[in-house]
Amino acid sequence: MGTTVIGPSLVIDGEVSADEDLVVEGTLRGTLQLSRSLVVEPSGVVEADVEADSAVISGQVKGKVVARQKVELRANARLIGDIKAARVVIAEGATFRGTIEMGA
Amino acid sequence: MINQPQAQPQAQRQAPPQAPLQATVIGALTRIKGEVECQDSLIVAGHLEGAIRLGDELVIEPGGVVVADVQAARVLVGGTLVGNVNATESVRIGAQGKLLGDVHCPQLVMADGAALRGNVTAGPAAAAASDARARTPLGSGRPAASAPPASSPPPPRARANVPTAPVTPLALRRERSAGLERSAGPERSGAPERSGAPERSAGPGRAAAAPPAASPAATTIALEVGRGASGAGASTQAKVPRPPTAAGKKSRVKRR
Repeated sequence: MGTTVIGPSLVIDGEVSADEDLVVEGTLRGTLQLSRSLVVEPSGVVEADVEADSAVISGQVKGKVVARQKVELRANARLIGDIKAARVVIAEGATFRGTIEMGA
Repeated sequence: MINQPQAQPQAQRQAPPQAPLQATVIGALTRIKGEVECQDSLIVAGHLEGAIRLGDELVIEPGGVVVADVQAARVLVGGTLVGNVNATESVRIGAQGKLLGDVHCPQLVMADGAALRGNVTAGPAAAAASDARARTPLGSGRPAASAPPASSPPPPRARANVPTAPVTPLALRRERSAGLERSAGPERSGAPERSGAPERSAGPGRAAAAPPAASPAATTIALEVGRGASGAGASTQAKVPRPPTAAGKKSRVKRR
């Protein structure tokens, strides 16, 4: 496998930690610690402080996002919170409110 | 998807039979602590601790560990489940499956090699009860709280109540002894070593000498079984402890 999928109807309230890729199509609240990549699909809602290798966000995220590599906000993404990453990509149409700290 | 037998390419193109809807998968290297709620099914190959409420099926893959009270339509235990289970349709425990906790469901199916410790209320009579329970919120912290009083006759009623279960009478007898006394006898050589750990539960010393299990969580569970078995008559009353914090932290060490 190598991938964890949180399906559209799933709601998780608590701590998640993973050493594999995580795809969020549902709702996740709490804290999120990944050593690999996070993908938040358009239907995904993450209300958590996120730590990951990289993050590709197409859905909604509320919280601080810390990535060792890259944070990417796709066109329909909505991020409220701070970003800390080596590289940041924000596509046209994405919503973002917060601060960015780059080049870590 | 997971555990699917090697099939012909054309068969693989069809949707997997286990996951008709888009399933949520908790992968082997993922740990979740908290509450999980879902309208459809959930597949756990990793570690999940807390409380689970599903509208459909919970599948615990071999190697998967769930420490939680579970409420679902169907529960398939291929790995380890510690907590009380309340299913509106069925509970199935696979050959490598281990369940420590009370079970309420209309139908309980146990494969040869499966381990179960706890009170069982299975059969049509339990259907109404589990329906009623399905409407009460899950107690996340106290797995044994919803258990019936220990004074009520605790022997598993699986034998009388699962006539449709594809289990031979011999296997059933083994299950009864598994539920009451210990998980299995040494003659069950087909069982893998991991599920063999709790079977040597003659005393705490023996349990401590059990072979190292695959993960710290599994070790914890094995030890708990050993302790429970050394206690006298209360063995059918499931002790469903939270794993010690030390063990939990240890297993959080990154596995690359």
